[in-house]
Amino acid sequence: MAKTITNNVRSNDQMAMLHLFEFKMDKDFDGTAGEAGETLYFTDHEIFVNDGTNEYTPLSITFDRLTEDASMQSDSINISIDNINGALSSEALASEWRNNPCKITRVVYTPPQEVIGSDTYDYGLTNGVPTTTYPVLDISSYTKDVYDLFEGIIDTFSATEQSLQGTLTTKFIHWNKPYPTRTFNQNEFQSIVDTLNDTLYWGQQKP
Amino acid sequence: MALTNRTSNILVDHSNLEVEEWHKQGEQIQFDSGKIQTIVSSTMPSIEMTVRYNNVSQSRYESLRTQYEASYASVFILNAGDEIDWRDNYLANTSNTWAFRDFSFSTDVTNRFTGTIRLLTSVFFDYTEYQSLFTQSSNYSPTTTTDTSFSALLTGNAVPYKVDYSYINNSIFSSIGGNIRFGKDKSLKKKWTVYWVLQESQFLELLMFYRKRGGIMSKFGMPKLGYGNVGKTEAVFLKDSFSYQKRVDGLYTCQADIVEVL
Repeated sequence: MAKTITNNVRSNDQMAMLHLFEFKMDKDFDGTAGEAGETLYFTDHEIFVNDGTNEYTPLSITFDRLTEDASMQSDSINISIDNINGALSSEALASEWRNNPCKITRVVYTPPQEVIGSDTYDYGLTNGVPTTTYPVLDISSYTKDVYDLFEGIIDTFSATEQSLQGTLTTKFIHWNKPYPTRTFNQNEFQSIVDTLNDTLYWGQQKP
Repeated sequence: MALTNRTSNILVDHSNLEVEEWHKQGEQIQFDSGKIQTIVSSTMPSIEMTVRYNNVSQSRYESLRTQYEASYASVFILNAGDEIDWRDNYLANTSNTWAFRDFSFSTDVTNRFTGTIRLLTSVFFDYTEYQSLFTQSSNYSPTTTTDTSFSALLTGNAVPYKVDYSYINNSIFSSIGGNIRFGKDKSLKKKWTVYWVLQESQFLELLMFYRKRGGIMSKFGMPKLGYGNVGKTEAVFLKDSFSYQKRVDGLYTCQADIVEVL
């Protein structure tokens, strides 16, 4: 994963930037994201964005500063998503989305030049949006730099009527997770011995 | 549900337009070398337009009021002309979408109406792809009443010489860049500011009304236009005080903010 911004998109030191967000929601609570659930695709661009594979829905979505260091300590990032139509909080409450994968992708590009009538616009107005269907920015054919800004899991969320706040944590959070522990009462002593003689498998008897 | 085209209803009889346009919104970063890097995050133009009306007729004002009350929390189509908004030429045929920012008018004894409407462009377009994702609606339904306690005053001894009209709009909007993305209806209330200059005996009637009805406590029927007695809806005084001046010529001047209750 290269984070270099190539010269392709740096002409005249002007570039456009948008972000693509993917959240995997688990709707049947089986801990596996994506199959019975769905993947939500959002973008902070003004109109729908199509990268050739997925279509991203425009949403008012922002995130705060991400820091990285060599110690691989788990890091988190806070996002704020507009929730005014209430669709997101109902989605969040109907799904188990904690521990599910999420991804923020940064796309850097220069809007291509465009000619409308007899006028040439240096940085394009439509960005290749067709006039027959609903406005979609198709970035699949653009010269662009795409890199994963953040990949991790969804940690917590809280919602108000106006916005939904979420915390995303890097995958390295799993390194900090302790093994499942088990405690015993004294009157369980016999069962402890039985247990010690038995094969323990993640806190339960091995089938 | 397709968006309503409000062009002819809004732009007719306006006296002038004030327009501000933003294009390619983003930020500039200046390096130590003095070189500037520009990062564009919003590529769509965003336009704020103030439409002014000067001395229009009552029916024109009422027509504009209807437009606002029908779309105070949702977007609509307005073709302001290619010179101002030409998104329809390069984006999509029905992309001239706008939302109301605010609406205020005023009238006096001449019964001519002067006011402004402020509009903002929207990125909630007239396509089912948008409509099915984010449904918008504006449902203004004030409580009508037949109470004549206040309108009897307004048509009798306490005839106002001036009325200002505005609204308390609790709806919430979200935006992307400088454009409105989504609006949610959280109720709308009419607000009147009524101005009087009255003889002492007439003024005392008005003051007595305020005292008897307990200021903000009591609902009464308020005519739509703030004078006369037509189209009354339930309203209360907005403030819990009533201030007035007694002038040296013995006349009293006062004003009151009155707001609808839902």
